[in-house]
Amino acid sequence: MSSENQTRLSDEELCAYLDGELAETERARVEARITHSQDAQARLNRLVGVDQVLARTLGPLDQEPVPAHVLEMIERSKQEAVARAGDNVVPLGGASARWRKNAAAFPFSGAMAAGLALAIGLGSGFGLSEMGRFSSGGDPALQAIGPVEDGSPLHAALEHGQSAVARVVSMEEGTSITPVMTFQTADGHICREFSYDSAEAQQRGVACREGPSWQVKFTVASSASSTPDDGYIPAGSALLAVDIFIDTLGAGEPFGREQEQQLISDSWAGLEW
Amino acid sequence: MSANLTDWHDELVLLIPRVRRFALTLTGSAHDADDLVQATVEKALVKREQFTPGTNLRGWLFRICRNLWIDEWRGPRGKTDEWDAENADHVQTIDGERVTSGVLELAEVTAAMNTLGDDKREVLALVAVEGYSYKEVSEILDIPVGTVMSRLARARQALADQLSLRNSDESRYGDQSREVN
Repeated sequence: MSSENQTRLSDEELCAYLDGELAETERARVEARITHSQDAQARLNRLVGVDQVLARTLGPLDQEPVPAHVLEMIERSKQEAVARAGDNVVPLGGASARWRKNAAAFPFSGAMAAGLALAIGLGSGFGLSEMGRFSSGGDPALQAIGPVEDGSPLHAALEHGQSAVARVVSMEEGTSITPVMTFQTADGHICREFSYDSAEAQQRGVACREGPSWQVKFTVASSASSTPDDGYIPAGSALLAVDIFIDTLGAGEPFGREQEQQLISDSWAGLEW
Repeated sequence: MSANLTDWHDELVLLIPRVRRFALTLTGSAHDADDLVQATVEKALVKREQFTPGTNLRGWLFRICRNLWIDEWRGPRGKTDEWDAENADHVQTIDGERVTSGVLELAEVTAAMNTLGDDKREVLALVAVEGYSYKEVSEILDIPVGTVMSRLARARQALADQLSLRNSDESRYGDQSREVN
């Protein structure tokens, strides 16, 4: 790094320093150079000045009242959603939804970083043996990692089911399968998150379309009465694990209903994204 | 279940003021911002079931807002150019009769922001006004972190130029405690 002292700090470096985006050693290095350079100090002050103007002028704009018609629109939607909830929309996580909401307090970069660690802890994605511990849980009704059998309830749900609409598997046993959402991975696969619910337990999973068939890539089971040794993990951790797994796939934004309907109508063929 | 839905909608309501601020920064006009906020909320409500619980609702909304602006709003209507010309005049008019900062300064800064171009303006708004990390901005805008950094650096430079061009006493902006004029 003999050139280090001769090179002017870049605007990017000054910005990253200003925004607290530098790792500790890098931050110390940049700070030392700013301390010893009037030019760098002047340039940094100029950038700080810009932010101060923005904070002073644009900052307070979030104190203005929300337009009433927007509030009314949200309130109407809320009433409708609550009214519909009793009919055909299945809770995405039931009791654990509250936990998920709390997780929303994490900035998503933090959640992603934490996610990576947990995903590795679980067995880094596709089909490592540790995953089986969570996926089978000793319950034959639960779906294992691997191909989804043609004609099985899960196959029908993945192939034909609209997201967020529950499909009853067995009235007597009170089991249902719900596709949760559909998304595309960074490498172009179409995948669906699904939920397999029974009175005692919930299984969440991700299945991806490979050629003509569906492959379960990840599952995790949770139970309301979870104990450390029964092969289940707490519901909150289960949902987090699914989110993390989906993050590791580099998932894009979930498909909207129309796009999803198109995929279903085309039998998941002709994907050209 | 109903608690879950209620929570989602309530959180949405709490986030609207910040979505509106972001929309104001993007569009540079209160009228357009209100239209954009309404369109954003409409889209968010329609897409509610596609929102992944546990992820960042604010980032999700900003993404919807920004994509609406870029893809459907700005393009076909060509608002940015119109607004620029209109506002440049406006700023010159008020410049001579500056009384205090506040409203007048806001118009001036907004005009300066509008000269940046969307790609730089949105990055600057997300980092300097909304307080997002580079990583979060890269996720909202779907661009690499390196691009966030270079656009941000160019945006701050350009805005510093703009503001000092309009004001010979540049230090006014570096010192909040001092009033000039």
